[in-house]
Amino acid sequence: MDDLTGEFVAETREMLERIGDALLSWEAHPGDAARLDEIFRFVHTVKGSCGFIDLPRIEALAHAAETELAGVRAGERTADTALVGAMLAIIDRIGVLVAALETPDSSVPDMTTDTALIAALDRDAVAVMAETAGSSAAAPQRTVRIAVPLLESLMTQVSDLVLVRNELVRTVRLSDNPALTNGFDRLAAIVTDLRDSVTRTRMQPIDRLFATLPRLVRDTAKECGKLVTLELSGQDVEIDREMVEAIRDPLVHIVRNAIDHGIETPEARSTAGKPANSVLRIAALQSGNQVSIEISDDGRGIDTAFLVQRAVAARKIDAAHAAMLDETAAAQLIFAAGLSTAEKVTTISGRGVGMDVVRANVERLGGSVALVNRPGLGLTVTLRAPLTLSIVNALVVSAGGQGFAVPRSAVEEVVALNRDHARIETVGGGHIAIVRAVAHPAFTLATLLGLRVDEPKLAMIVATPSGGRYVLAVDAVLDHEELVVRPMAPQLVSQGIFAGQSLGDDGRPVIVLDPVGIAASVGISRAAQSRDIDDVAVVGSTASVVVATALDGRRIAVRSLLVERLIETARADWVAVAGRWFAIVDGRHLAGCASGDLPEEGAISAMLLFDGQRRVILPIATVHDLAPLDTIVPVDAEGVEGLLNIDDQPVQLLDALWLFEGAAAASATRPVASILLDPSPWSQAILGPLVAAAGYTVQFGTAETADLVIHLEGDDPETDATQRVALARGTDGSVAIDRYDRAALNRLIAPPQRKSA
Amino acid sequence: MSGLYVLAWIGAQRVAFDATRVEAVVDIAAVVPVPLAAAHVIGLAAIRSQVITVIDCGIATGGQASAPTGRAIVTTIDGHRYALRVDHVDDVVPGLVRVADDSVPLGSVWSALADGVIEVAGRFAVVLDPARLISAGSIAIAA
Repeated sequence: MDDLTGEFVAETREMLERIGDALLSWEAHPGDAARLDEIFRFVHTVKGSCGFIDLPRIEALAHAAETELAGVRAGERTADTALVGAMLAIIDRIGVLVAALETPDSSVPDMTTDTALIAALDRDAVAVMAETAGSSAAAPQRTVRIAVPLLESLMTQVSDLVLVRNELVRTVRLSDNPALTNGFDRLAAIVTDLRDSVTRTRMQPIDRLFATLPRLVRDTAKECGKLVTLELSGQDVEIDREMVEAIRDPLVHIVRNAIDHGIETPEARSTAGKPANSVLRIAALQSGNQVSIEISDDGRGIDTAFLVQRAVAARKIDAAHAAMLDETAAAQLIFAAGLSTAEKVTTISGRGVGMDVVRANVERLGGSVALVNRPGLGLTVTLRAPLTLSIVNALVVSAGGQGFAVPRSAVEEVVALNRDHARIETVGGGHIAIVRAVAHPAFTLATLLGLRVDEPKLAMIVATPSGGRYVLAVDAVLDHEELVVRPMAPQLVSQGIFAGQSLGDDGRPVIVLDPVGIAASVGISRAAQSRDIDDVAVVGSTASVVVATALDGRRIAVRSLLVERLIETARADWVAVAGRWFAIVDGRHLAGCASGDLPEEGAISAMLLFDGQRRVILPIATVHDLAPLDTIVPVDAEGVEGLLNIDDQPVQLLDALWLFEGAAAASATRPVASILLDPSPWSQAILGPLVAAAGYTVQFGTAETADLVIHLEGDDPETDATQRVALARGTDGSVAIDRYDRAALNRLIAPPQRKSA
Repeated sequence: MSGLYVLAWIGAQRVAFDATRVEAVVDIAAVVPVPLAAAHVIGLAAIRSQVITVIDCGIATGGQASAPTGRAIVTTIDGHRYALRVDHVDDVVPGLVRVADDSVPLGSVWSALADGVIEVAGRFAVVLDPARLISAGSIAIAA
C-alpha cells in the first residue's frame, strides 16, 4: 500500500466513525441541513480522493450517494427511512472496501452487489447535481497525523529528561550560585510542563469510542426488534489512546447484552407499564486517574433467581451455597464462565462467552467491572479503567533488602504488624493476616520472590480490581513515585509476578509488581476473595492514620484511607481567594484545608486527600508516621473527630467530613440514610444523630432514594440503596446489639462511601 | 562471513561479537537483581537513563559468574536492550568466521551459542550469537 492510499484509508476511517452518528440523527431529523451537509461532504471527499488514486469501485458508490444527497439538498426528494437505510448500506460498503485496501488478501463482496446497493437508493427523479455552496458546520479543529512510534519516542525522551532533572536536583541544591539555581528551577518547571503536554498528546476524547455507539445501538435494536433511545454524556473525558482501543470490545459487549436481554420488547414493556421506548444511558466520568463508564438501561435487570437456578444446573455452585447468596452476590454470577441468562441463544448474545471475558479483559488493564441490579427496573454496569497505561502511581516497598514498586491503585492500606491490630498467623503451610478482626490470605513478598526473609513489619492490604483482597507482608514503605512502566525482557517475566520495569527518581531501575498476577500465581480463587469483601464492608470503617504536625503546631492525624499521597508544593503554588486557600497540584486548583498560617516562602509539605470523588490538599509542617487507629476519645470541637493517644502524645484526629466540606466551598450533597426500625427514642435520638454524624441525611420510615438502609435482620425491605445494614434481631424482636456501645455502632455505620460499590 | 568483530574475554576464553550487533561498550556501575530470573540474568541496570537487562556471559556459557558490575557489551534483541557482562573488551578487528564443525570442537554448551571461530593474530576467538546467549538460561531450564 503506497503512502497516498494509506493516508486515504486512515482519513476515510476517521470520517466513517464520525459520519455514523450524523446519519442516525439525520434519520431522526430529516430536515437537519447541517447533518445532511456533513454526510454530503463525506461522500464528496471520498469520491474526490478515489478519483486521483484510482479506486473506481468506491468512487462509483460515493458518486451514487452524492448524487442522491444532492437531490435531497436541492429539495427534490425527502430523506425517508428507505433512503437513510440505503445510504447506510452504501457507506458500510465503502467501509468494507476501504478496510480491504489495508489487508489485500481479505475477501471483498462481489462487485455486482454494489449495483444492487446503488439501485436501492431508488432514484425516482433524475437527480441534478446541485452545488449549494457554504456550509453551516463550524470549521474542524486543525490536526496533524503523527505516527504512534514517534509519539512513543517523544514520551521516552521526555521521561529521560525528567530523570536527568531529578538527578541534577540534588547537585544544584548544594550549589550556592543563585543564577544556577534560578535557571535550574525554571528549567525544571518547563520539563514538568513538557511532560504534561506530551502525556496529553496520548490522550483523546472518549467521544472517539462513543462515536460508533449510536450505529451499534440502532443496528442491535433493529435486529432484536426493540426500541432504544441512546443517551450519551461525558464525551469530552480524555483517555489514553491505547485505552480507547482496549476498552472498545468490553463496552460493545455490554451494550449488546443490555439491548439483547436487558431491554424488553415494546409489547413486554407496555405490559410492565413502562414506555415502549427504552432508554440506554452511557456516561463517562473522570475521577482522579480513573475513568468510569456507566452503562445503564431501564430494562428488566438480572433475574437473580433464574440466574442462580442456571448456575446450580450448570454446576457452577452447589445448591446449599446458592441458598445463602444475597441479591448482590447472586447478580455476580453473571461473571461466572459459561453461564448465560439468555433463554435462547441469539446471534447477539447468549452463548455464555461473555461477561467473564469482559471482566478478565478489563482487569488485565487494571480496571474493574461493577453491577447495580434493579430487578424489573434495569441494570447499571460500571466499567472502570485507568486513564493511561503508561504512567503509574506507585509505592516503593522493600522486601528482602530490595525495593519493589506496587501500583498505588492496588494498595488499599498499609498497616503495621503488631500484636493487637494486625498480626500474621501460620495455618498449616500458609498464613492468614488478621487485620482488625478480618482475616485475609497473607503472603510474604520476600518469600514469593525467593529472597532473604526478615520478620516483616508491615501488612499491605492489596485490593485486586475485582474487589478481592489479600495481604502482602513487606519490610517497609520506602517512597512514593510516578513511574513510566516499560515491558521487561522475556527472560525476566516469570510467573506473571512482575508488571514491568521502570527507572526510579534516584535513577536506579525498579521492578514493578503486578498485584493481579501475584493473586493468580499464589492461587487465590475469586470466590475466596469475594467472601472477604462482605466481611470488610462491615468492619472497614476503622483504619490506620497518618500522623503529622499541622502548620499551627498541633499534632494531627488523618485516616490513611483518605491520604492519596504526600506531596511537596512550593509557596508560589498557593493562592488565597476570599479567605480560602487553593493550591495548584498536577495542573489543577485544589481547595486547601485549614491547618494554620502558611509560611511566607519556601516549600510546603502537604497531604493530598481523596475521598473517591474529590481531592483536597492539607498543608502540614511535617509528617511523622503511620499509626493504627486505636481508641478514639470523641471531643466536641469543630473539625476534630476525637483525640488519639499515639506514643503517649495527644493527637487530634481530624474530622474527615469537615476536611472535605470545609475545603470545598460548594455545598456537598449528603447521601441519604433510611432508618427502618420501629420508632423509639433510641432509634430517633441516639442512632439517628450517630448516622448523621457519619455523614448522612437521616430519614425514617421510608426507603425511597436512600443510599444506606438500616433495618432489622429478616425485614429485608425493597430498596435501591447500594448499602444496607441489617441489625441482629433479639429474642423480643427488637434490636439485639448493645444499644450504648458507641464504637460498635460506629463500626456498623460506615461513613458514606462515595465510591459506589 | 567476514566483517568487524569486537574481541572480548569471558574468563580465560577469548570471544568475539559481530560488530554490527554491538551498540556500545559500557561500564555497569550498579545492578538491581531480579528475583526468580534465570541464573545467567544478573538483573537490571540503568544506562543513560534507560533500563537494560544485564546477562552474565560466564554463567550463560556454563562457567563461573563474573562480578555483577564492570564492562559490558550492549545489544538489542527483539526490542529489548541487553548488556552482556564480559571480563574485558580488547579491540575491534576484521575477521573471517570459520563455521564450527568437527575440525573446530567447541563442546556442547559453546557450540549451541556460537556461530564459529575467527582467527586473530594466530589465536582463536569464539564468535558468539547474542540472541542465543541471552536465552541460554531458558534452554537450560527447558531441558
